[in-house]
Order: sequence, then structure tokens, then C-alpha cells
Amino acid sequence: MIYADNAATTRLDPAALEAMLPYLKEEYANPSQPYSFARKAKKAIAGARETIAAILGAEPEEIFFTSGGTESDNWAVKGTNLAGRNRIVAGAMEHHAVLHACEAMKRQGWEVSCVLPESDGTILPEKLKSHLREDTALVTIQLANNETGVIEPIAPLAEAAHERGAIFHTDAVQAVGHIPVNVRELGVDLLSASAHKFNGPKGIGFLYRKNGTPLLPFQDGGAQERGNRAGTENVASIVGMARALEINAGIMAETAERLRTCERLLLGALEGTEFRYNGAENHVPGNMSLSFRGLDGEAILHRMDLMGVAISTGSACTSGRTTVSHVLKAMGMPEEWARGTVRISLGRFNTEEEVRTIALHLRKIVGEAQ
Amino acid sequence: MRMSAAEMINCEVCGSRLIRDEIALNKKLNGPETEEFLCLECMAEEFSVTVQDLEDKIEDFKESGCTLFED
Repeated sequence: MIYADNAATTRLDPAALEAMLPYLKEEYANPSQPYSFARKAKKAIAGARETIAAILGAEPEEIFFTSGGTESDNWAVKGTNLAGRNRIVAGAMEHHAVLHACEAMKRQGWEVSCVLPESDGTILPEKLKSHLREDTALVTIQLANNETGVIEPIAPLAEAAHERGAIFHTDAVQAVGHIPVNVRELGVDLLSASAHKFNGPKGIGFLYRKNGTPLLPFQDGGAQERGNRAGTENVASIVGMARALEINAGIMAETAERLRTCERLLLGALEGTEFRYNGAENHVPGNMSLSFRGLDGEAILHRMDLMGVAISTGSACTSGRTTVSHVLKAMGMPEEWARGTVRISLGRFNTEEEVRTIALHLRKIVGEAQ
Repeated sequence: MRMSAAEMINCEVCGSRLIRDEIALNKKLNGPETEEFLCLECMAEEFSVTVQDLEDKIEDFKESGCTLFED
């Protein structure tokens, strides 16, 4: 099997697993307990927090561990707490973890406004500014899109939000561990990340909260995460997440270069077929959204699956009816192209040989159909 | 009982009468607008997979709730 759906999840790094094992076997103490047996677990959490903070250019106390990207996004959107403001501005291509959380706020009387991107998926600061008002509490725009991999110009977008006194959150789930992310350079107040997207374990993530940013606690209970996110810490996964991020950050430049080579290889092999590349030049390395006119994306996915290749699609067939993703719709893609969209997301464990095989199979399927 | 047009589709290669799951699988693997239909045996040969691979796919689609397939 060739796995080319790394935007959905990634293979756990063996070194991250190794780092986790002692906290699943021997060092299983509840880190909140005062006895000496809990000391190693407590130190492991502190060390992981420091590691993650250092990679992101943050302070350790600005990192809050969560169960993953969805929780972090929900916390950022629902925990927004600026007195007198009850309006959220969100990117139209956000992940459902953000959009559905915004919908929930809407049901509670908040106003939600969505900013449409340009046709290449980029959100322009000028366009965002036209959505901002004095009652805007939160602006939430993803750092990288989960379908196209397009990287948004977060720094000027955050600046625009701050000019109107709003909090700026970015869903960086697809970006952290793949491209350089520095919270100070980006100028964000809140940032979501998930470990399993960067070769860490599933069920763990974090929310960066800039010191001084008003945010309600996510859940009540014990004093964990300084009273902001109650619940006994998932020590092993926290340790595995930090180790995975450390490894990915250490080889980020060479991984990116290799994945860009793989992209060129794949796109070159598709020359002669009628396809379009969706997105911008500035995207997460290895993440490609491709559309084939007149074809069905889900059919391509399943044919590739039968050939032993796991990819994703930008459209879904529900009992015979094809629905196009909200991301492709927001980009204004014509239906005839959007229906034939697939996402190929390569990761650091993919080889050039695998990419050649993917290209060969994809070309065969598309060639037969076109 | 009268049979609908969809239930009267035959395999393009061997001519065998297709059942509902086979018709649905053709739509899933070739697109909902497909006009070319194969039985499981001929499809397996066409795609260089086993009939079991295709039957597994059918089960996946059923479990996902796709109503194109038999309950």
C-alpha cells in the first residue's frame, strides 16, 4: 500500500513512539499527585511544553495541551471573550472544526461573516478589512488549507484584525511541523495544532494562547493547564507530540525540498492529460489538489485504492449525488472541474519510487476516462 | 413484478445480467454518469484485482450508508 493522504493523518514516527512508551508502561503516575513517583511525568510534560514553545517562538506558559485540532479550534472560537463584541469573521475555506464552531456561536446569537478567497485560495488583507467592524471579537483564518495546502498571508491578516481590536486565531493544523511557524512573526493571538498531522500520536494537540489574550477556560474540573483545560494529562501523547515536532522541525528544510521534487515529478508525469492544479505557489510541500475535467474524484479515489494507493478527494458521492467541497466552492471552481478533484498529500515517509507509481496509476485511470 | 431499466443492465463483456450491487459498484468506480457496465468477474479482470477485492469495496460502501447498494 502506498499512503499519499498525509493531510488526513501521518504515520507515527518510531522515535516518537519510543519516547511515549515509558509513560505508558513504567511512568504512569498522575502528574498532579504530590508524591515523588509523579515527578517524572510532571517533568516530561514541562519538557514537552518547553520544546514545543521553543519551536514556535512562544513562551512555555502560552502552550495549552488539548485532545487535538478540533478541540483547539472549538476552544478558540467558543472561548473568545471580548466584552461588548459578538461577531466572528472566518475564512470561507476553514476546516469544519472552525466553521461548525462558528455555527454554534451563531445559534447563541453571535454574528458570523465569511471572507471569500481569491481563485487561488489566498485571502487578501484588503478583503478581510472590508469584513471588520468595531464589534468583531474574533478573526479566524487558517494558516494552511487542508485540501489545497495553500498558505495564507497570516501576518498582514492578523495585523488587520488587531487594527480593529479583534483577537486573531489561526488553525495551523496543516502547517505546524511542515513549514516554519513562529507565532511572534505571524502576530497571532491563538493558534491550533494537532500532533497526528506531523507524525505524532492521535488524540493530542495544543492551543497557543498569547499571554494576555482573553479566553474562557475550555472545560471545568481540576487545575490542569492552569485551570484552563481540566482533565488528567495524556502524558505519553504529550511527550510523543513534542518528540515528533522536534524531529520534523529538525529536518523540515530537506523534507520540503524532497517533497517539492516529488511534486514536480508527479505533475510532470501527468502532462498530456487535461488537469489543473488548484492553489497557490505558496503551499505546504507535498500537498496537491488536482482536478480532472469531466471525471469523478471519488471514482478516481476508489480506482486508486484498488491499485493500492490511498489518496483523498475534493468531492463526495452520497448515494449517487456528488457534492463538491466548500473549499473548492469558495475558490469559485467550475462544477465540471470540481467534481473531478483529488488530493494527493505526500509526507516525509514517501519515496520517489512511490510517487512514480502513483503517477503511473493516476495517468492510467485519467487517460482511460478522458 | 416489472423490472426497472436499471435492473436490466447486462455486462458489456460477458453479457450476464447485472445485480443492483454490481451496477452500483460500476457507478462508484467509473463515475455516476457511466454508461459502461461490467459484472464483478469481468471488472476484476479489467482492473487486475480479485472479485473479493470488489466485494470488500461493496461492503465498505454499504457500511458507509450508500443507498445505491442493496440493504
